[in-house]
Order: sequence, then C-alpha cells, then structure tokens
Amino acid sequence: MKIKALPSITLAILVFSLVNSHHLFRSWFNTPIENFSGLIFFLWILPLPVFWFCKSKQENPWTTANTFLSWLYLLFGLISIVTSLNAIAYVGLAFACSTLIPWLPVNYFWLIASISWMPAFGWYLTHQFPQVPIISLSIFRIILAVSGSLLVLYKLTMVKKSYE
Amino acid sequence: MSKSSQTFLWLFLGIVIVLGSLWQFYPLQTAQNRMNKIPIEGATFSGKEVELSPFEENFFKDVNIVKRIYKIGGQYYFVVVLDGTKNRHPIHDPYYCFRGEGWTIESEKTLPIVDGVANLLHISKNNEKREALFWFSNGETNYTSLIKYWWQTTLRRISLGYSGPEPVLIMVTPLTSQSVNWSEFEQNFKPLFKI
Repeated sequence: MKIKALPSITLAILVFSLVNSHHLFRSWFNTPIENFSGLIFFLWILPLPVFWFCKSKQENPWTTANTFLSWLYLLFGLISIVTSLNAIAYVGLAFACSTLIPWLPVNYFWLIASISWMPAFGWYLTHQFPQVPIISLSIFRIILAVSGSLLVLYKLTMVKKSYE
Repeated sequence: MSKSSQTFLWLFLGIVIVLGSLWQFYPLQTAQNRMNKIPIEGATFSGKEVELSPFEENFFKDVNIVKRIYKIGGQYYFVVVLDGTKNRHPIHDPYYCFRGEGWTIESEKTLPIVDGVANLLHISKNNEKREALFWFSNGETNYTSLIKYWWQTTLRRISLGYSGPEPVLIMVTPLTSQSVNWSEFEQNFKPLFKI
C-alpha cells in the first residue's frame, strides 16, 4: 500500500461527530450508571492512538480513511439530528472513529463492541437485569470493549508484520 | 479517497450541518399548556412547588418541569412531570434513574389507570423500601413503553409536530415507605391522569 495523508474531510467528519455526540461526554459525569463509560470509551478507542503512534514511526504506513464509512457516518449524523436521537449519533461516532484505522473484517466485531460505551446499552442492561449490581454490568461492558480493542490491535499487528 | 469523493463528502457535510441546524431550531409546540392544567390545590389534594437543585437546573436545561409535593389522603407524594419538547435527552426510563441512585428494583407490575396503564415499581435501598408509579401521556393515552415514547417523539420531530402532541413523563413517589392504595390515589387526584 502507498502512503497517503489523512484527508481533511475525514478529520472534519470526526470533529463534527464528536460535537454531535456531546451528550455522551456529559453523561459520563451526570449519569451514575455511565460513570465508567468514559473509561470504557477510552478502552474501545485504544486501537486509534496505538495505530497512529505506530504509523508515525513507520516509513510505509497503510492507507486509511474509508470513504464508505464516511458516507455512512454523514447519513447517521443527519438522521440523528433530524430525529433528535442520540443513540443514532453514537452509532455514527463509532463509524467516524472506524474511518481512522485500516478496514479489516475484525472491525465488524470492534464496531459491535462499541455498544459497550453507549448509554442505550446501559439502559438495556439495567432494564433486563434489574437486580444485578451496576458495577457488575460495568465490568461486563469493560470486558466487551477490551475484547473488541484487543482483537483489532492483534489483527493490525499481524497485518503490519506481513508488510515488514 | 479520490478528490471527487472528498468534494462530495464536504458538500454533504455542509448539507447535514445546514439542514440539521434548521431542523433543530424549528419551534415545536410544547406540552406546557397541558402541564399548566395540573392544579396545585383541589378538594382532595393540596400541593406546593419544589425548587430544582442546581444540578437539576443544569441537567434538565430547556425541559419543562412540574416538581411538586402533594398531600393526598394524609400521605405525602413527590410528583414530577417532564416535557422534553426542547430537550428530550434528559427524559429517561425511571428505571435508569432509580438504578443510578443506588435503588434496587424489587418488582415491577403494570397497573391499569384511566386511559391506559402505568408501571408500579417496588424499589429498595439500605433496608428502605419505596413504591414508584410512572407513565407517559400524550394527552390521549397513558402508556409505559419507553420505545413508544421514543417513537412518538421521533415521529413528531420528523414531521415537525404534525404527528401529534408531545408525550410527557409523569412520576409519583410517596415520601415514606408506606404502601399506597393507587386506585384511591387516582380517585383523589384525577387531573394528574389526564395530562
């Protein structure tokens, strides 16, 4: 693969998706059930900084910026604003983040694992398991996020080795 | 990513921002008029307004709120009505709030009320037991499904208010752990069930 700089539109979409998801960041401090969600989000998003850190040290890093996912984000972004549904904005944020790493089949699982930091999943778990302590539900969400991240990091490492 | 793809993405991003802004700032009719009809005093009840805490002021920004304590049949009740027309995001399933405040949901059952149903929760925390009754009302029916609330409010935003009135969330919790006769409560405080 050839070296390509990240297009400015990809960064613009990421910034827009973060602004459109500002309620998510507020919920980490305002909603007791989401107290761990900041940590869960950080664990889930870990492949991004790791990938970009390694990429900056490489002479022939891989191409990124998935056009299809960028379009998908914009569609979700528009729907989330028109419907005023944060859950859709957060799914869009996950798509926007995934444009920043090379697309691998394992990214599907990573995207699915993004539900771990979404408040709708917290609501679903508390509703389905009303007697399970919040801390146990949070641990389950952490495991889900870490599983997704580790799998992507492992696959990225494998692909990187194949180019060396 | 090709140059033409980037150009189209920039164009669509611009459209999303402009269209999104127009949609978000379109003034939908609130449920304020319906909420104003909840009386403070009546033959069988009397209430007083309760001020919002600084946290609530911030959390429920732009939400129309009725927050009162009512005395009904010798017992005190905390009554909260929330209209999220201008900011729907703080309106949650009360399950979520109670669990977040450290309460455990002991049981849940559907209770028939006028024009629909309500959800009766039995909750506990540190040997303290409480009951809580909540339901959503769109002015015509009372229901308990959060999914239905999301659907109705979403449809309302897509149709710019033409799909019907904004549903509100109504929550009643007695201030003590005494068991409540909810059908008597309904008889004594009928206006609350007709918002």
